[in-house]
Amino acid sequence: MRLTRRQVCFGAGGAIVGSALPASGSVPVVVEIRAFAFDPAEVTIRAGETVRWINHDFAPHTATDDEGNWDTEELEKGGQATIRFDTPGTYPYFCAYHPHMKGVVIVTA
Amino acid sequence: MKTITLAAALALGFAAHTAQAADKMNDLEIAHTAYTAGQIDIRYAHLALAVSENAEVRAFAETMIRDHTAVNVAAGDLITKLNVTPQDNDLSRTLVKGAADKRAELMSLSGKAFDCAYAQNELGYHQVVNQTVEGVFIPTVTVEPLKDLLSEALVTFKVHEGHAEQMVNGLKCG
Ligand SMILES: [Cu+2]
Repeated sequence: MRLTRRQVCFGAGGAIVGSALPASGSVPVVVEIRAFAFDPAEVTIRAGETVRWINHDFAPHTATDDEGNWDTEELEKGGQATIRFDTPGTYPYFCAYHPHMKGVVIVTA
Repeated sequence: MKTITLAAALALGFAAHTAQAADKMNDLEIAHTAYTAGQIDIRYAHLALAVSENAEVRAFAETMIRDHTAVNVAAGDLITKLNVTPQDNDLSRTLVKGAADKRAELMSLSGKAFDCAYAQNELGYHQVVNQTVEGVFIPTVTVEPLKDLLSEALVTFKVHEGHAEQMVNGLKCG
């Protein structure tokens, strides 16, 4: 199994604000991808905190912003990606490979 | 409706054959057939990418290649770990022959006719494979890691079946 680890940060409007993590020492909220579903499908974090997606399926998945502003890119089995959200808002996302897979990140001030 | 009838006929023939052969198949034959079934779908997908200009069909084909490759890589890893050699068998040969015939049929088509035939075949093919994996392979197989792998693969294949059904409906093939 090849492990992938990716860390990305997005600011207002999805601009990448930095490539190093973590800026704050906060622990990421984890979304497990299992049996073609995001679990939990909805997570709520504070601005500046991070969400980490971990794929447990054989099938590669992504977590891709509906608006196209952020994307974990392909996560193989065992792969993970962490994204920081700096701007409050509601961010629906889906899997680019299996579009019926949907989730949402809610970022509070 | 010709393609649906053909797919159904192939499905029925395969299902009947499977039922007959089921209790005779050992773990190594089941592993061979499951692997073969994935490779066949990958080949269909490459054909679709070569022929289809429909964005939805192409995206589906890319997903089939990506997912079935991932499952078969895992299967290959398990086979290496168990240090066994999968065995060719009647069911694998039936599948390979059926797929060769279907590819020949698909290759004579283009445009919407191809898209519809490909989509309907993907639906029928996943239905039959899933019935076989769920109803025959998983209950029959004795090696626990292989049973686990088939069970997880089935989750993927069932998603494909649902996706294929949506594609068939979306194409409005009539
Ligand atoms: Cu996915």
